[in-house]
Amino acid sequence: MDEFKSEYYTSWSDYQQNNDVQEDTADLIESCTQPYEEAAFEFTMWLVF
Amino acid sequence: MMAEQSKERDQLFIDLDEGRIPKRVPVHTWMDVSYVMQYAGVDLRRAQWDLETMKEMIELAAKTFQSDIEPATVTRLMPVYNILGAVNFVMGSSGQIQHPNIVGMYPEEYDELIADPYKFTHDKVLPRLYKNLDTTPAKRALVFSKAMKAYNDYYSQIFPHIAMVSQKYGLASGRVACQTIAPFDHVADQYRSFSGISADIRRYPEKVVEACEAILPMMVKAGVKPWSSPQARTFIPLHMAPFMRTKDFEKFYWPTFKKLIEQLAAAGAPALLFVEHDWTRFLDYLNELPAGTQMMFEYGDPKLIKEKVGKKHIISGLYPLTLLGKGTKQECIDKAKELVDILAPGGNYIFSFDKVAIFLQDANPENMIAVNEFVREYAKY
Repeated sequence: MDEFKSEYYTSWSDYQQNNDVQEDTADLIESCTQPYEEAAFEFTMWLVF
Repeated sequence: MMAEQSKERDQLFIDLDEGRIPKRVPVHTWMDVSYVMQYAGVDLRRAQWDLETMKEMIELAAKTFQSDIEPATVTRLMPVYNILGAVNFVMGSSGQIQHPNIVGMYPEEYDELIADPYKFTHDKVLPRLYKNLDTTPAKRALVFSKAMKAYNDYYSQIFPHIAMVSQKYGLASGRVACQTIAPFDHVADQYRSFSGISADIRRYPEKVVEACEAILPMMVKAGVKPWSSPQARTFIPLHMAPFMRTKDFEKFYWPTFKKLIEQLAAAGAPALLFVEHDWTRFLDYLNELPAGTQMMFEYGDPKLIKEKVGKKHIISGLYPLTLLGKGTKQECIDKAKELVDILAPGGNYIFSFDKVAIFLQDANPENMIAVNEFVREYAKY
């Protein structure tokens, strides 16, 4: 599945590109950022379904 | 004991999904939680707000209606709509949540939609559907935050509760992981409206095609969850196709709809289609979808549907829910027997009614229970 792209959605690769993410903390930062990005996306879809 | 019963019922669906004939035809009844509220005689105007009442209704449905899967669904949340000032979902005087026809997008905005559908949804569509978002950026952020918090608070209790009562009453796991929408339906439903999209395919046909293509990745993303599986499917209610000319369907609806279902299947998220209205003209198209797609039909000739798509796909629906409201118990059971005799041979069949039960007068609960009990006894392989 291709990565979803939008100005209002920050994928993990977008996040890494825009932030200085160290390899040894990347897993933690990903697990502390992406679920909230996904939650906002899911809620947005619920609003228009 | 109940865990064993849940396991047996899960196996019915696993067998179907893996192409085997199960021990018997599984029964999956769908009802809005408001149907259970009416059955219980509670005041909908209060119950639609009240999480504890909703949880009681979910349990009441699990133990009452003889479905193999928890039948009650909670799809509309008044506290969230209230925070947002929703104009697309409003409570009627009886306490039922109604869905007025609202336009969330204007025809001159196709290019903006095509450029970034998710951004466009936030910038243009949501403030039109939810008037409390039509405000300053700071206030909008606060309203969105409060509404999302309420949404998470409710569903973080509702979904575990459904899982808990399913185990408690020996039901199978839920059949739905998440929802998405066919791209053309998405443009039509809450963006351009039925009449708006019907005019657009004449006036701006290429823009509509581009919009469906642009929306497709968002719809695929919405339809795939980490927990998606052949047993926990992506629910997709289908709306516009029966109202379109076949050549318009072929140009506007089918290409991105087919891609959606194929991409979902490839991502491990097979679809459960609610094939609304009459798709008889399009059965050959449906048969092209990935094998094992579940199709819950509303109308159509059961024999023709079984013949055209029932060998490759899982069929459900077709039992007229409203017969439960006006028929005698025997008439209702006779109808169930007629459908089972046509649709069950060879497997690939789940017994369901043709609609989600919403109004108590449409479906006498006693008839519903009698029919479901009959099918569970009669439809053994």
